[in-house]
Amino acid sequence: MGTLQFTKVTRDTTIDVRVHVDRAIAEHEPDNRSARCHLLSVFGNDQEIAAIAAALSEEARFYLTGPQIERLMVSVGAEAVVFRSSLSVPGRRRPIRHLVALSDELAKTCTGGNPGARRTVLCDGDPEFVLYRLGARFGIPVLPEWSEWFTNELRRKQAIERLIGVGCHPVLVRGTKKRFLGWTGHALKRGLIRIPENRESGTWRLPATFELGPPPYEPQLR
Amino acid sequence: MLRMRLSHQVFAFSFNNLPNSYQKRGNGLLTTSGLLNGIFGEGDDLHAARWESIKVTDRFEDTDDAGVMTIRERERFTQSLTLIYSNGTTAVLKEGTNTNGERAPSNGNAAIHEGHTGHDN
Repeated sequence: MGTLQFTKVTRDTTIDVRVHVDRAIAEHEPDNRSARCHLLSVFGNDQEIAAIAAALSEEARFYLTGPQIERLMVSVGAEAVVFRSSLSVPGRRRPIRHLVALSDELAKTCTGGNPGARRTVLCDGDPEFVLYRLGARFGIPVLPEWSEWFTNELRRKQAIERLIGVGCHPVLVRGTKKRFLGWTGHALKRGLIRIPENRESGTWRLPATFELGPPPYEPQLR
Repeated sequence: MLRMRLSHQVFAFSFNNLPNSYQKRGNGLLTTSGLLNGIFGEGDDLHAARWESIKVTDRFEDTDDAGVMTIRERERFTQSLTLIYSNGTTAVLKEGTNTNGERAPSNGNAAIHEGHTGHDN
């Protein structure tokens, strides 16, 4: 669990809001002093969440702290997609407000969202999950049996890197549909992978929940 | 009226006898729901197929008698089919680049788009 802090100083007053963060995905900016936030999942009371939502619409900067994260300045950026809901907790008179914000880049990783994209942010680095999500995003016919080969290929070509995560192990995959299709075609040609003759493929074993497990692998952290 | 079928019943489909990329009414629902994704063919024609919906923009330009040009853009969804054959050949079939070579032949085997055969990346 991390903390998100929003501070705004005006002429008359100072706003200082701190909310709890249960999930976050961030990526270091090239200057390495701030980070671009791709996912924020925070909860707090009415006023706190309203302040965070207003700050998101103004593309404000926040301070994110968490396990293995020391006070990092983050921004979700322009055109963030924000979802809000309420959670009723037994024993509490008022419901807890929950807010999830997605960066424009992450929001467009849905099927057909941005077919020409060169980067894909994923909330988990599990080999099957990575291949499944890339296949769904770019419309590439992929089989679960190819997961290990594909992840090895990503690592070999340095097309995958770990991102900063709170409550998850996010990764960034670089590549276009044409590139991934080319890798697959070459691997089939060289016999590294194959399409089953009996037309029966395995089933995808994807994480059913957003639970935090051990990191599936350790790519180089920028 | 069509007979209702049990949702859990297992059916054996064979798509090889029909041109599966020939568009006609109703194919869109099958493709976007993923019912036509999977492994098809045998031997040299063994391939994996994946359909996806893509958004295309049609652009119309009209010039009236006064010389004023009106540009209209209309967005709509269409389907795209990506194929990977067991010999490593890949193909992307979609609207807009339709040629005779891209349309599936009547024997049901998908045609291979020459512009997409293999990548060296």
